[in-house]
Amino acid sequence: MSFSEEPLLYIGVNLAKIIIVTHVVLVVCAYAVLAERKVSAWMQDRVGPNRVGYFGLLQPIADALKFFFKEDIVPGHVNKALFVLAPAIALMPSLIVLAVIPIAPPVVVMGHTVPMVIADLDIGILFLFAISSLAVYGVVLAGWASNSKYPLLGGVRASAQMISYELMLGLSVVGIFMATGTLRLMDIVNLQVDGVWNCFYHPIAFIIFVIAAFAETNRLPFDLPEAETELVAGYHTEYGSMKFAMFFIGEYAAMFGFSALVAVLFLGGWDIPFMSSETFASLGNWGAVVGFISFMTKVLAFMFLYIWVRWTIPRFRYDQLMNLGWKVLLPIALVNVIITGLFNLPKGS
Amino acid sequence: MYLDFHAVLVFLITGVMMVSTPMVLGMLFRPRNSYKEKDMPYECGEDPIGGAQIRFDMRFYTTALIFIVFDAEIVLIFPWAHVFAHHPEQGLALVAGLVFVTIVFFGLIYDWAKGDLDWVKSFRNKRRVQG
Amino acid sequence: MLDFMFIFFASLALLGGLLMAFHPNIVHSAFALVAALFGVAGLYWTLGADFLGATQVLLYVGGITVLLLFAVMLSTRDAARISIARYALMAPIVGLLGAFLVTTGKALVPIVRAAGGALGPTEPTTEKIGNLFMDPTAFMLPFEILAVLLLVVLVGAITLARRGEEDAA
Repeated sequence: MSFSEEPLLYIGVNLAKIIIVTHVVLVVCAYAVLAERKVSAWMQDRVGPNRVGYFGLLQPIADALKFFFKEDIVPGHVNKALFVLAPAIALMPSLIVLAVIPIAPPVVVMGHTVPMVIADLDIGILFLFAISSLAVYGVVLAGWASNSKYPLLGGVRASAQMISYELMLGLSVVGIFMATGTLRLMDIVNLQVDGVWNCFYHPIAFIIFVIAAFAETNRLPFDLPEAETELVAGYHTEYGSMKFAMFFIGEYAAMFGFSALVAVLFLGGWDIPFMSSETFASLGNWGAVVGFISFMTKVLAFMFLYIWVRWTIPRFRYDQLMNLGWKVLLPIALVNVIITGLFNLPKGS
Repeated sequence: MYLDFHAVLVFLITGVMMVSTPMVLGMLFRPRNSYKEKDMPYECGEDPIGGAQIRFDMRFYTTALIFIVFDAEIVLIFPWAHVFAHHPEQGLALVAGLVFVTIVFFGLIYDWAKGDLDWVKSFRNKRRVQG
Repeated sequence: MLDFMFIFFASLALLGGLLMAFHPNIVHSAFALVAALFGVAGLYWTLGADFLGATQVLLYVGGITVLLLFAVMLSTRDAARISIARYALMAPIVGLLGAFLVTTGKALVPIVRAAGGALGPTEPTTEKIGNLFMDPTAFMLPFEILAVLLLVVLVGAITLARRGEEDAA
């Protein structure tokens, strides 16, 4: 199906996909905040939010309203243009990245098979890394434009950390693409649905990727950019109201993005063990629903891991973080590429 | 399609709207009540001393420098990884890629030996650099 | 859609470039450069060079401009202000460049038309690039030399940065 053949259907289907993805992200982000507070509370033997709605379930809505009605302070000493721009730039990359993530098996709409991904790019993974590398600007600009000491320190720390771990992120997955011979995320999932999940074929890559994903999203144990005990709140110390909310949603959207990427690259995407692509196809459009639920289960489980690790492992020191990245993970990732090359001698040799 | 960049553009514009709408909409409801103390940099209630936009350590710059070179190398590895599995001349593809990765590895070893990967500078390296 | 993409990214590149050249604050300039480089990446995508576009974003926007921002932020606050006198120098250069681009662009249009004029997405490029890298008669040697070049760049850049650090200390 293309635009020239059936323009209305094409536009409708694509808009529907965009609306589904954006809403899923927003709902997941809102409830991830609640989940984080609840899980944290349970791990510390507290109750957590339980006043707004049964079980605190309306808490995200209350939070959102609060963000709307709070005074939006732009302190006098900041660089106004960049100060306002920074939160938007922090959020945008983590949203755009989701454009290339396949979320479910193809759906059949009026006789056309529609892949459930907004843009099925041939260079999917490279596009994803390229866009997520822009996230560093939100942080570094927030730190600089705030014209305040804690934010600058947090911003500079964050930028060095994020660019360092971007390398491990990129290098760890090279092995997968060597073995599969495609950079399209849709193909990667399809190969796993009918084969074995990549986390079993590429365990080292899986571990490196997960560690790098934690560092990229600035989450504990690598949350040095916003280490509360040293830097108050790091790069967003001077922010309040909706601008702070942008950083906050941005962090959770990035967590969602990386969880989705882990699910797609290593955990089979929408695959359910012992189900082949024929089984999904035989269920018709219900196959897509089942696949989507399976995909979201993996994503949410991985987001739970983020919260779990937060209350399990203490924060690294900055030199430990840099040593881990450059002296441990990067050499291992390079050796992993070489080993994968030797193990996956091209077919017909 | 494999080149759906226009869909990405539409998604980008949707994203911009999603980000800007709450910011602009909120302006209608928000109180404005700014005074001198709110305008000060936040330093836990202390009066700030000196400016904030200080010169920071050189190591961050060096890290970014090393990052760019490795980033370029990773970008070049990807096309190789793409064709590796299906390449007709199997040994050739393997050797070409492995030579590339090994040269990359030499870069890492060089940096390591020179102490550029040390975040905390040891005295040994300090002396060698000055000498 | 292709026209819209072209207009969007071309204006992004153009506005970013102009802002970069004429903004008095150098950090704003560096940031405008991000927009300009991203616009160029978008133009690559519009023309169907998907790999090149992603590389542009990954390297120039996500890497080199970060380094540039670091360099700017490493310099002191006073250096972040550039006098208005720079405009006087920049204006004729930009004018000349613009005139040059418009004339050559106009000259190129008939050539592109004659060549079939097929601009726009046709097929993915990454696999072709990969195959050319693996072809000993094509770009296999340059591919390996590129690795050596990057190694030299790494050694050279680090050495230069080290010297700067010594001077500062």
